[in-house]
This record gives sequence, C-alpha cells and structure tokens, in this order.
Amino acid sequence: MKNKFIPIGLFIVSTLLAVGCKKYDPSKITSTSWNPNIAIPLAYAEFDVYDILARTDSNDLVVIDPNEGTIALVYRGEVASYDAKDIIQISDENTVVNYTNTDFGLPVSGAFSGSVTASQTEVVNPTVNAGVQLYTVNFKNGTLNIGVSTDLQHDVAITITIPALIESGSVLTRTINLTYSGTTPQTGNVAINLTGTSIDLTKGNTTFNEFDIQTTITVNGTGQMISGTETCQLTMDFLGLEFKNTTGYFGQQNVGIGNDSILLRIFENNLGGYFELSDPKVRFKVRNSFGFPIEMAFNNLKTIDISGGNTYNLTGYPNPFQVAAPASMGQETTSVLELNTGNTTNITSVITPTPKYFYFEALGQSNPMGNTGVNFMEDTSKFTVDAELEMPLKGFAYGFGITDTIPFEFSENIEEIESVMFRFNITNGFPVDLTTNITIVDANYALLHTLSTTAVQFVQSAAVGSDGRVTTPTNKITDITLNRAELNNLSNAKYLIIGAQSETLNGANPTNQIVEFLDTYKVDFKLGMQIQGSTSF
Amino acid sequence: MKNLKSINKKSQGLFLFILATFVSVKTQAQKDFFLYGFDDLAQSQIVNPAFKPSSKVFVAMPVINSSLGFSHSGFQLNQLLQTRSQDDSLVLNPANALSKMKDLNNLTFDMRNELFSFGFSAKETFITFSLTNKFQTRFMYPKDLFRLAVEGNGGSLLGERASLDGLGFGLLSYMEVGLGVNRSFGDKLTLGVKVKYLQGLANIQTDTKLGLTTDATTFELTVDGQLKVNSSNFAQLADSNSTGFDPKQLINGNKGFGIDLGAEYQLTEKLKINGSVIDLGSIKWDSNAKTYESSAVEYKFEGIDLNQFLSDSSDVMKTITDSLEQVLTVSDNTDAYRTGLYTRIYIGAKYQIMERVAVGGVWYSEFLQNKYKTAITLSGDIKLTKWFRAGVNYTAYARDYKTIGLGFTINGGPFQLYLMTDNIVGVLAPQASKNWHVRTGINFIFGRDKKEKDTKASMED
Repeated sequence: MKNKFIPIGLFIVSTLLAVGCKKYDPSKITSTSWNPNIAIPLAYAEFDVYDILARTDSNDLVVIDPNEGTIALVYRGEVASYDAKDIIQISDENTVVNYTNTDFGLPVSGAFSGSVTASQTEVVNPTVNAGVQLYTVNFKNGTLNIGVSTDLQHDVAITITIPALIESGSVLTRTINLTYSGTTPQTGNVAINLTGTSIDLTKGNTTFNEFDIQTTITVNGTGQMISGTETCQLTMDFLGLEFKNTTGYFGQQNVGIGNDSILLRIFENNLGGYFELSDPKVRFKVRNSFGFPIEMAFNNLKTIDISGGNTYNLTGYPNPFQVAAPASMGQETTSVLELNTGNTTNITSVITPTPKYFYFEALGQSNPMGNTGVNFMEDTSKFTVDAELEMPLKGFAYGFGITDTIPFEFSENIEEIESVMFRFNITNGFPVDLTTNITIVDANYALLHTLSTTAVQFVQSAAVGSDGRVTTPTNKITDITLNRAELNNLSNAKYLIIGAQSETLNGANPTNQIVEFLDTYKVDFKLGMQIQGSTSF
Repeated sequence: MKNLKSINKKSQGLFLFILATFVSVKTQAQKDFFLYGFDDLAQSQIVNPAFKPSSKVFVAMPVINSSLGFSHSGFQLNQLLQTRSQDDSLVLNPANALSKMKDLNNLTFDMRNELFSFGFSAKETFITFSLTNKFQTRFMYPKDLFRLAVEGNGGSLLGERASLDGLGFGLLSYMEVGLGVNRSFGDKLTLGVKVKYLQGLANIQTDTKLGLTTDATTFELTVDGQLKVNSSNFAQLADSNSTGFDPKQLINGNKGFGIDLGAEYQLTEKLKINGSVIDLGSIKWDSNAKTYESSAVEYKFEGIDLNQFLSDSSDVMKTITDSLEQVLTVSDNTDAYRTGLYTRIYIGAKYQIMERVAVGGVWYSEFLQNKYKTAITLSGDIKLTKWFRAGVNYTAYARDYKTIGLGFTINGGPFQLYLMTDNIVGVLAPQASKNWHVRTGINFIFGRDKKEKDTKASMED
C-alpha cells in the first residue's frame, strides 16, 4: 500500500515530461509568404455638365431654358470695338493776328500822349476728320495759349474775346496789359485751360466747324515817339483739344472693320467625328452708344476644321444689318442679328465636321442714309460687336474622338506586388457612350503597354425617353488588371496617352437618335484599386 | 513654461487616449481550478472562504506565496507555427491560427503575490488575515484585426465590416487586505466569509467600438466607432518626468471593498459539497482619474476628391485631415468611476473514495463583459506518503478540452511547500497550450488536525 501509487504518479509525470520535451524551436521557421489583398478607394468625383462641357470656362455653358433645364454651349468673341477718338479728332489750331500802325491810325512824327483803339475779327475753322461737321463741342481737355508782342513804346491793352466759347456760363474774354518800361519789344502771354468750356461752331445755326476770335488793342501814349513802323502781333494756339461730347453730322465713315475667330473649345482636342445639332445659332450683338445709325455687313462667315484643313461657309443669311442710334447721350442701343435654321440655309451642317474655329468679318458704316439728323457722341462712346456661336445640346454625334497626353511616371517598388487592379465605377447620367484606349509610352513615345487591345467601354450611355432626355443613369464597372510583368514594363513610363471615342446613344445608328442634354445631368466617378501583395520572408 | 506643461499634458492625454484605445474594460483573473481541489491548503480559502486549513495556525511565508498566469485565448503557438511533416522546420500558417480564434481574443497576464497572510483556529472558528498585491494586464484583440493583417481588407473582409469592437489593453493593479472568518455549525455545515478592503493603485479600461467596412464595389472605407477610456494614476505611470507614485495617493483615493462567500456541507461521511462566490465588490477610482470619450464616429473615405484635386492639389490632404478632425471629437473629464471585481462562482463536490484518495468535481462560472463562461473540472488527489500529497485534474474551459492540472504539497514538520498548475501542458509545452499557470509558496503550519495526524499515522503503519 505504501508504494502502490508512486509508480502511477511517476508514469504520469514522465509522460507529460516526454510530451513537453518534444523539440519546438521557433527559430526554425522556414521561408514563408504573406499575400495580403488591399482594397482602397483612390478618387471620386461627381461631374456635372459644367465640369464636362465647360471645365475651362464655365461661361461656355448656358442654361437656355431655366424651366426645362436645356443647355447650350456658347462660345463668344468680340469683332470690333470702335472708340470715339477713332471717329473724331480735333487737331491743334494756330491763329495769328497782326496789327500795324495803319490799324491804329497813329501820327508818324512827334511824341504821342493820346489814346487810340483798333479791333479785328478772325474766323477760325478747326481741322477735323474728313466729312465731319461739328456743331458743338464740350471740351474735356485743351489749352488756349495767347501771346502778344509789340515794339510800340507806349502802354498797350489787348483784349481777346471768343463769342462762341463759353467759360463758366460766360463768353471767354481775356485782357493783356503791357506797360512800357523803356525797352522793346514788349511781350505778354496768357494760358487758358479749356477744360469744361464749350463752343458753338455753327454761328447761330448758319454753318459748322467755324468760330470767330475778336481782338481789340488800345494804345495809351507815354510821350515817346511814333516811328510809323510799329506793329503788334497776337498768336493764339489751341492745343491738346479733347472733347467730352460733341454734336454735328459725322459723315458716312467706316466703323468696326475687322475680323475674328472663335475657338470652339468642345472641339479643341478632337480627332474628328460627326456632330449634328438640331438648332445651332450664330448671334451678333451690336452695342452702340454713338449718336448715329450704323449699317453692319457680316461677310465670310465660316467654320474651319483645322485637322482636315477644310472651311465651311455659311450661306443665305440676312445681310446687311441695321444698327439704330441711341436717342440721347449716355444711352446705348443693342441690336441683335441671329442666324439660325430659319434664316440661314446651311447653319446646321457647318457644325457637323466638328470645326475648331468659327471665323467672321464685320464691316460697319455710319449714317448709311446720309445726313438725316444731328449726330452726337461722347468721349466714352463705343461701338462693339460681340459674336457668339450657340450650340443647344440637342442632336446626335458619333465618332467624336479626343486624345490627350498626360505626363506619367511609375517608379514604385513593385517587388512585393503581385498584381494591381484598377476599378472604374462610373454611373453615367449623360446619353453618351464612351470607349477609351489607354497607352503607356516611354520618353521616345515607344509603346510600353496598352491597357487593352481593343477600346474599353468605360462609360455606358444612360437610358433616354422618346423625347431624347435621360430617364435612368447607367452604371458601368470596368476592371483593369496589371500583373507583375506588366507593372515591370511601366518603370520607363513617361506619358499616358488617353484616346477616347464617344457617341450619343445610338448616334451612329441609321436612326440617328436625337438626345438632349439638360443641366441636371451628372456623372458619378469612382476609382478604386485592389493590390494583391506577395511578400516572402 | 506653463504653456509647455500644458502642451505636455495635452500630449499625455492624447497618448493615453491612443493607448487606451487598445484597452479593455475588465481583466481576467486566474481560475485556480486546481487550488479548489486542495481544500485543506491554507491558500484554498482564496477560492472558498469556507475551506478550513488542515492546521490550527498557519503563516504564509512573506512574498514567496505567489501565483503567475499567462493565457491566450486566440490560438496556440503551434497552431500558428506548424511543424513541417518532413522535418522539424516550422511553417507559418496564419490561416490555421485564424480558424482557431474567437471573434474576440485575450492575451492575459495575471500575478498575485501574498505579501503577508496568516490564520488561526479558535474552536469552531477559523480566522485569516491576508495582504495581497494583485496585478493584471490584458490585451484584447478581435479576430478581424488578425484577419486584416493576414488577408488585408480585400480578401474575405471585402464587403464586410471588420469588427474591431473590444480591441484593447487593460491594466488593474490593487492591494487587497482581507479578513476571513469561517465557522462550522454542527458537524456538517461550514460557512465562511472574507471581507476585503481594496486599495487601487492604477487602472485603465476602455469601452471600444470600432469597425472598418470596405465596400465590395467601390472599395470605399468606412470607419465607425466610439471610444471611451477610463484611467486612474495611469498618466503618472506614463509621465517620463514623474518620479513615481506619491505614497499619499495610495491612501487618499481609489478605495474599494469586496467580499467572498463560501459554504461547505458534509452530505455523507464521504461526500461533501461546497460552493463559493468570490470577489463581489468594486473599486471606486478617483485618484488622478481621467476619462476620455470620443463622439460616435462614422467616417467614409471615398478617395481623393478629383474636382478639388484638379483645382488645387495642395489642399487635398488638408481637406481629409480637416474632415477627420470634424468627425472625431474627444472630450475628457476627471470624474471618478467604478470598476467591478471579477466575480467567479465555484460549485463543487468531493468524494473520499478511499482513506487517502479523493475525487471531486467543480462547476465554475464567470461573468466577463456581460458574457458568461463556464468550466467543468474533475479532480483526484492522493496522499502518497505521510508528507507528500499529489493531485491531478482535468478541465474543460473555453473551447479547450485538454487542460490537465498537476500539483502537490510537501509537509515537513512546520513547513508546507506547495506547487501547482492548472495546466501542466502549458508549463511543459507552452506552444501547445493557451494557458500557463503556476501557483507556489511555503507556509508555516502548526497544530495539524487530528484527522490529518491519524492519516499520517496509518501511513506510517
């Protein structure tokens, strides 16, 4: 009994020790691998119509019907802007008036102590642009310099008066007094700032471009001798004349002669295709603050397809176009000429070849009907012609290709990457299909990798109703996987060339289904990445 | 200087918050399945205050009497590092380890040190006094955390919520001063109670809800969760400038009380039944208490906003961090809080099949974070010699069905040496076990009871 349990206990203990002593050495870990799979979102965006169609300039896109939400691409350009100074300029004017002893009637011999007065009136015709008849002028700037010189050995008083020139409500007049001090010639001058003065150049509605200068000289004898050869000369220089406003008849002058071209940004990077809109418009908006009517002639309107080198002329549009004058100074008239499918024969087809530019020339002539009333203008008067090409986004397109080259470098360590999968998850609210081909090239544009041998459809058109408007967005998921060998190819990558072809829903079908873009359309873009790691250690 | 201190305090607070993100609510104490079977050992009162030691007086040797435990509920080391069949090389098999895990797994370290204890008998009453230092730490990690590390979020977790709920690390340190009394009522019934004054030293606990969901289609990442962290005296531990605890803090706060209840009934001459409830009570943590609480967060990362990136790429990261700051707001306060003790229930029976041989069984229950866990232990012990008693037990606990405990006592005059473990496999082959546990110590015992001496005499015969 005493030792009966001892062997049992020893057996249990030794068994457990045997189990526990089995070799287990954590340092004997053999090479193994770790293959985690990491999924992360890379980027997201919600693109609306402005992001897609007018990313460069949101003003390119206009809601043309707020109630319906219909939109149009509108590209603008300014044909010409004609300033007032381009039409009327008043040249500097110089007038000289001479007085001789005969004019004064002074005795030739002996000392003179009496007083005599002589007067003259000088007619001035300022030089203005050809054909321009000025009636009134309010001056913004200008100076009248008056100079006097005489060899008379007596006191002299010279008075200059310009009856047509009003200064502070009164006729402009100045007197220059010369007091003899023993030396000759006696001289004097005065400078008159003409800012704020006004002048009537009609002499009481009898003429134009004309005014008088009246001069009066009084000689008060000092007891000195009269030789008989004495003179007195007045010079009057009108310098730097600029009008604030003016009236008259400004003649039939060419205004707004010019040409311009409008870049159609939607087609800027395109590689061709067919593009037909239901109701494109070309609109010329003329704003005129000159006080005379203008006749506009628009010539050589055309679109230019740079890639094909072709031009397409607009024909059959109304020409010329009359621009009315404002009723009074400070006002402006706006006259619009719209070329549309109703008045221009081939306006739809000139958009079709996806042109890059819209080109036009404009020529304007003032007073096309002659002198039928008083013209006016201010120094700020302007004549501008804005042109815009409006493309309401309703129609169809196909083969509309764009391409872009983006700098791209891939220098990541990919030793521990087995593959990378990029997932494009695009929910498209536009009635447009988009297929893309992405090519990766090196610095010499040598092909390194093409993501797919055929173009991949990344974006599938939303469903549309019978009216061409989207009813349901469409989701499309596209996975692009690069294995390790393909990733290795990217180590020399320099550029990513993205080519895309788009067409409106069934745009290439014979039915040419019409679709319409609304301002509510959106594209929901999500890009994710799934990395299959493979690490051995 | 004041500002610098302020910044340091904020930094500490942030550090604590981040650290405590990984902290659990309640640590898990040792089960002491084996100890429950050695009911005449003085330390058996730890698991049932109704147990009577075999001597009239005992004094535990200071500091020596200790218990150490380490457990990992997730997987065994040899389930992660498997021996290759053709040689003794090890291969990493995380998938196998993953398959062994529960949704939430614990890595626990538990240490108890009886600084001083003694007991004596006064007629039918036995009185004990003990001073014990208890220290427990625990790291809790969800299965999905391991799965994320092994598989990534693009494997089986794609489209699922990777649940990191409960992710944490816990620490509980306190001193326990216990006064136990048990008394026999008649020949059959013994009741025992132990009242414990608790002095908390340091604590940190969290209530963590955290999830990461990866959208199966877009790979969008959604983080959801809410964090709450309670700590006491933890900042002082983390403060590199601190010279340690101010002893006054030990006296001034973090007081708690606990109670153990036990009963034993001699059903027949050979059969007795017993039961106990251990560690009913709590500690109120008010010394340097700090609570951090985040708002409920649900943040979705969809990638870079292309529209913003195309307009200004420099602001992208700032936008992301700004939005994170907006969704994650953290408040803090210094309110006191209370933690409950880790309550266990033992119900057992022991049958004396021979004079020196007994068998028994224990039904063990515990309540941890509102989860009920149970264990069944079958045990047997034998007095092999007059001075040597040994035992063995088998426990089924927490999906582990191969836990075998071993232990013994050696009595030499007034000395009593004991060594036991709940899991001998854990001691001998830790790679094949989830638990490692050892309890050992030396008692000075005087006046062993008559029954014990009779047994001893018979063995000598």
